[in-house]
Amino acid sequence: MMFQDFTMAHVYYMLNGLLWTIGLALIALTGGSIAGSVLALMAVSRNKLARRIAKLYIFVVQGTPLLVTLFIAYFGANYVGVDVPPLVAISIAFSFYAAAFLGEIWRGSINSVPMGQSEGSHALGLSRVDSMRFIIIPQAVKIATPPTVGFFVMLIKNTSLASVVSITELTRTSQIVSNATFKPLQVYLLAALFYFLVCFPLTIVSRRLEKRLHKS
Amino acid sequence: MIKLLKTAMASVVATALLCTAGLAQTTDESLQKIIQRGKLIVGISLSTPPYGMTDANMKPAGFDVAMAKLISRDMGVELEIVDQVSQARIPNLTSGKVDILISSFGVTAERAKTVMYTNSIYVDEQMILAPAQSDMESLKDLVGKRVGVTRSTTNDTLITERAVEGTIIQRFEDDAATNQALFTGKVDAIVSGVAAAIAISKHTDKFDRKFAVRQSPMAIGVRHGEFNLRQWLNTDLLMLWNSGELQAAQKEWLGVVNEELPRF
Repeated sequence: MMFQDFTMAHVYYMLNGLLWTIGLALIALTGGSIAGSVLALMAVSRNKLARRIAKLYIFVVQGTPLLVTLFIAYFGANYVGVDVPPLVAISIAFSFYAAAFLGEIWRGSINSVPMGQSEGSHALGLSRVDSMRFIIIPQAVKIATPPTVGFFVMLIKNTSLASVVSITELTRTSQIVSNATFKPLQVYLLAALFYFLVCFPLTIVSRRLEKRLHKS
Repeated sequence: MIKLLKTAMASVVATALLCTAGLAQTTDESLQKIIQRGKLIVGISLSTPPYGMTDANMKPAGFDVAMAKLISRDMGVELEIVDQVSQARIPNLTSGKVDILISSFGVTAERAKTVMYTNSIYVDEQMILAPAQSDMESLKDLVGKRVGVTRSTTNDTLITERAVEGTIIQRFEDDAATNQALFTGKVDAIVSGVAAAIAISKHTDKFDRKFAVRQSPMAIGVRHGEFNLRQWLNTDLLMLWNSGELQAAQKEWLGVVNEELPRF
């Protein structure tokens, strides 16, 4: 009855979990990047109110654990009468979370482009928008690449929290398989390998990108 | 003017009275809602063998799953199983994500402040499991020993409450990790249920059941106030007991059959 052998059926089940993990990561990366770039632009804008809002947002969201945000998004809404499906709750919570970190990384990168660059473009008669678009942001991207990819990798691994809202992603499938087979070491090593196979190419792409940006 | 005001006030009071009367007459539709929907949504943790697990084809299986199937059959509705981690069990129920919990759900007075229980479906015995050669007869013998337990289970509550001072409690995320800790000697003993103990002794004879600490009844969790649903479930549990199907499910998955189940 118990202690099944660790078979290919289990591996396929975990692969199915891996697909969920990748899907969740894509949602989180897209949502987080869109909201994060808005936040970064707000943080460096000349409007005092926009700067304040961005600062407060980053301050609050960076200071709260993702698990708590997820719990509030999924269960919290029900107590006020709205039923939120798991995927929607995840998309909201992960995008909110990623936006705060990406916003801060990108704000830092934009600010670390030397002052002379924006002064120079101003002297050349470029508008603020044009100077941002053609002078500042291309240089900021170079600075932002390593920390952004680092955060992406962290975000992919953080999708394991989705099991709280009943999504059977890679970590949850590993738990289920490990409990059915009582072979935690083999199961979790395989899960680690799967995570590595997703995250490793990202790191490689980041290195390549950095090199190419360095040349230009 | 005053007369008009009086009439207005009177009508307001009358409406308010009518409303409260209406509220008082509102019936508990917990059971009807599920039947009309044609689907019973049950929260089960699929990482808690032999209660909730997956079979060789990765389909939900185990005692809790078997119970859910019997109950939805008798209700005449489809069954939807929602897999859940043990910490999400109560939030899933109270927030309305699932209709009922059949999730190796031990009865405690503390939990009953948040959810209602049906009559019990199984009474487990919580016991201390340790290597065969070690000598343990009571909780006092655990002083200075490392005792493993799965976090946020009734086993955890039990040992936290009853452990004699000096016992080193180590908590693990799931049963597999707890058992693995015992197998590899990371802990000197673990707190476990009968079914898990039987499974382990099938696997190896290096570990013995040392002593029982407490009986732990398990039941189905229902939201506060949903008395019609709870009453129907209790009725069905009685019928399943009389037909012997409940005992058969216990025998198949847990390897033991309770002689009787406490009813309240």
